[in-house]
Amino acid sequence: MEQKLKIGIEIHQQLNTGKLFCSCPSLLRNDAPGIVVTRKLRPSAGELGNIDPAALHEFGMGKTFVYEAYSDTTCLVELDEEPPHKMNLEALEVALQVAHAVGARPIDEIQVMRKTIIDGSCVSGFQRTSLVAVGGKLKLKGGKTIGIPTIGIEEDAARIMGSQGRDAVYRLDRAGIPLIEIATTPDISSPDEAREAAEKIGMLLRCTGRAMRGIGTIRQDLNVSIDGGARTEIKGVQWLNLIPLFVENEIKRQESLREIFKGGIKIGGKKDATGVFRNTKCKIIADKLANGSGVVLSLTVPGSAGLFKKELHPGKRFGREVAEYAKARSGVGGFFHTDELPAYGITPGEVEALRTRMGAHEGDLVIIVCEKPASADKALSAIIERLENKMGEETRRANEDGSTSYMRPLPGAGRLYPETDSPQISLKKKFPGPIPEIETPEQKLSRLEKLGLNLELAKSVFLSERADVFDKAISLGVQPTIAATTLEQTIPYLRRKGAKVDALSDEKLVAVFEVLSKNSITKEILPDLLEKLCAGSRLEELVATTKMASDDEVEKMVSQLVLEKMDYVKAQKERAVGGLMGLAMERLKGRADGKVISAILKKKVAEALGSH
Amino acid sequence: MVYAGIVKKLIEKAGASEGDTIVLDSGFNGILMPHTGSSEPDTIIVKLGSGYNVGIRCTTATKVGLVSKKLSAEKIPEASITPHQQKAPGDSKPKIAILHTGGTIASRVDARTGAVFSSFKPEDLIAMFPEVLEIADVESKLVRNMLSEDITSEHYKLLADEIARQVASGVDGVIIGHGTDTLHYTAAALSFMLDGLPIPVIFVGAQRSSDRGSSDAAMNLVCASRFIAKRGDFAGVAICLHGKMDDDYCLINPGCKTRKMHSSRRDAFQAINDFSTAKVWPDGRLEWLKKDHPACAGKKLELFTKMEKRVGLVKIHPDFDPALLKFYESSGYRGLVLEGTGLGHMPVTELDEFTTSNKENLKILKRMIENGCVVVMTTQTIYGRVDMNIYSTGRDLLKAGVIGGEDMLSETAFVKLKWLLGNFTAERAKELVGKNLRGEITERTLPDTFLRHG
Repeated sequence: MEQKLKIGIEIHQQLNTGKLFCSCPSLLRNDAPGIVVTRKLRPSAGELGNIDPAALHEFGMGKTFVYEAYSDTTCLVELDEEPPHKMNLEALEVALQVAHAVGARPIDEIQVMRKTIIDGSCVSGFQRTSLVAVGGKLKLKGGKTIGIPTIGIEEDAARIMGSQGRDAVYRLDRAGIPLIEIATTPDISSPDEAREAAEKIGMLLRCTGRAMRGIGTIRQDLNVSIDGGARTEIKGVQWLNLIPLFVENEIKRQESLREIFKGGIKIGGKKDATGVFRNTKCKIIADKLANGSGVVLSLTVPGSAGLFKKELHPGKRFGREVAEYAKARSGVGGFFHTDELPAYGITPGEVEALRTRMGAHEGDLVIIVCEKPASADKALSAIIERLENKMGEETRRANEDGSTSYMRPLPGAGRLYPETDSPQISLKKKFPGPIPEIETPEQKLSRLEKLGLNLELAKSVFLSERADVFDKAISLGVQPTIAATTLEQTIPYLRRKGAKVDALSDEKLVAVFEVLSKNSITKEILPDLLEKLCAGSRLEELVATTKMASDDEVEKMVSQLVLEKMDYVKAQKERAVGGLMGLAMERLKGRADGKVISAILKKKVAEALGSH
Repeated sequence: MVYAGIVKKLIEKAGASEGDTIVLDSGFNGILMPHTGSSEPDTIIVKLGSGYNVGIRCTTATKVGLVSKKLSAEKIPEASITPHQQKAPGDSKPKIAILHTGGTIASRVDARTGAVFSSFKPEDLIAMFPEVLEIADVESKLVRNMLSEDITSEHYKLLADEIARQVASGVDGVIIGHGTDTLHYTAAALSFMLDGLPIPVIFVGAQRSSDRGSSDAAMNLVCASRFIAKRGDFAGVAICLHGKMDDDYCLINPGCKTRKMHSSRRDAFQAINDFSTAKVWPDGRLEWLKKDHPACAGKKLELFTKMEKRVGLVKIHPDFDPALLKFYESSGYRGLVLEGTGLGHMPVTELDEFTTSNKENLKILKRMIENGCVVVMTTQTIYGRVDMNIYSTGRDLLKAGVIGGEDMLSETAFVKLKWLLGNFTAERAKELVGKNLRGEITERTLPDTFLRHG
């Protein structure tokens, strides 16, 4: 691994304290929104002096943003129709508790800042954020300490629901939920250490008791740079276990790019090659040319044949990297290049004609973009920008497969200016007494271990998205180990098997534990029952068909079994109990407790042997 | 605000001033920011390298060190948006004069200090609202820079005189940027002052300041420009802000029958007891909603800009104290607009031991009117019409000489009475105050003019 590898993480955790600048609940909803408002955002000239290039780009694209809101759980503050209310002090207290736990120094007077964000996710055009404490420390395994330079509190952005052409749709249920932001120094030196640090911080946040749980409630950003590579921020890694993969892939990506750019990439000529494709069978090009406004612009990259096939990290080629960048910067969805042609209906003859038109040789790479002239030109400019590596530090989106995609340039400090609508918060005035201390992760873990969970299972439950379900199951009287293994082992197992475990909502799982606690089902059938729930079955029906067998029923079934297998019983004597147990369990399909079956089986076998 | 006390001493000792980079013994290192009014007096404000501002409490033992002085030439660079001003040959864009009075619409934030400031050089305006130049040839002028709650009737005169100059110079329309709080007072005042106004004078404001991406300022300004470009024979004073919470269209609302109906929403300005004149979209689409808009045919502008200062606006409420009326009487007020309850009432009847002072109200009003004061009744219900013939209270007030203000907004009645008493005799004012002059009174209250939206 590289010498000058630098990894830092930034964790954002949602709090269930209610929103940061109004009294709406921290509640995500999936029912239809009653209010829909459309807005535009424009780069505001003046406060930054120079306008964020990404902001200007978005505005140039004339985007309309559609905001979905609820008449009962969102108010005018989220809609940017009313100034922010005073900061939620409960949320601030949580941030101060975390600060205290890592030995950070609180800021005496907190100033709310506006962070310019113009992709539409913040209705106002900025996110309200403030620095709460600085200079904390976190101990890792083996005595290593990393710094926690900042702890902040900010409002979450709206969540994106999709896009309709040029419009993006956001839902305001998430907008304004408090986020604690905890950053580490870039002293993390390996992918696994990154995971460990994230886990440590995650546990600390859970100890506040105010951390929201569920997918998306905690988000990790990773900052990675290698020697000679540009710092990259990877946004929104949702699973701890994926952190090492993202870090590894990012290191490889930066190393591969460093290699690719070592000698510089020569850029050749740009030409209109529309003529080559006049009668093309390639549907994408034919359609764009047919409506009269499209042209084919082409670019030669001399001596670079095969460049786009180079792998940056497993699953990602340089061609895709360039395409993603071009899409983000120009809005143009795609291009073709000679590393992949002939294909897509483009014939070898057309490729030949293209090379001739461009004066390109076998060893050259030729790229074509079919769009309206202005867009095609913009796309080629973006491609050249990427090929010349003139893009600087960047923000990348974390994809589910462990790869990342270009989002926008990394914003600078200039994006911050004071939120003039919020007064400064003097800690001495607002928190005159001591801040109540929180349980440490060690204390919390040992409590879980006392419930009978081993350390791994305890950690797993502690950090689980379904920790609330675990707590409820316990309060219903379900054995802690059964609840924990079901949630943390059975469900991941079912996911790996391909079951749609997303169907298992917290409410559904609590309902399952409820029927379990009433002895309406046995723990043995849980995996089978959960799998069926994933497949769309209804819990009531499943419970009805798997209702616990009465002792009479078990006895009847076991008698029948012993009768059927009398020869075996006679031959095996008492040992037949063990042999028949599996069969009996199978026939009862988990509708009776194993101990009960075993007792009855013993009795029946003894009876059978005795009568002979 | 400037630093005082301990912090001032510490800063002076370090030889630092605002904008310099300093370091505190607690390790905080950044730019010294001005003290904000709401900060604690012993707190020093520093902008860290990350961009965050933090307030650090100081004692006499705190050490402040100067790291570097700010660069003298450092100032906010101009914005880098360039307008696409394409003037095709034969293109006849309307000429628009934009007059600024301050308010949210023009505010910008100083990146260093976070202070809101206004700047009205034409190039700033171009930087802030480049789209307007595609619609019109624009001349921009700063009349005053103030929040609208500070605007007085003397400022109305400044505006009226400037509009007259612009009319004389041949502009097609005037846009007035104005703070929203009292925008409808100024719009009403100019409606009266500018007799025979031959062009549209459109007030615009903003509910979200121009320094944020979600500001409504640009769209309001663009729609006002679009409206002037497509005005047809429209002439008169109107108000142009968002019609809905969406950035969809703006409403052109009548200058005398519009009110700020919400403290913060973008669509705060709504026509009351009347219809909006038109809907305008930023792309130039226009939909007329009312046909009988003021027209300019053959009019000649004449100014009547005097305003009587001694006119009061009084809201009636339970436990109304006659001393309030006595104040107006003894201070020599020449006009009084009452914002009465319901159909136009106030406590004037003695019923029991708790209501003995009510008769006093009536007595003072009567005396004021006999001595030449013009008293007009409007209603605090905002919507609807005054009618003092229904209950005996109203009849008593009428008998005392109180004039019914019909369906006039109380704010409009207030401005109108100031104008009438400023330019005409009290007798003439009495005759005219209840009559429609500029669209401030309608003859019929149409069903669809109540609490509709958009």
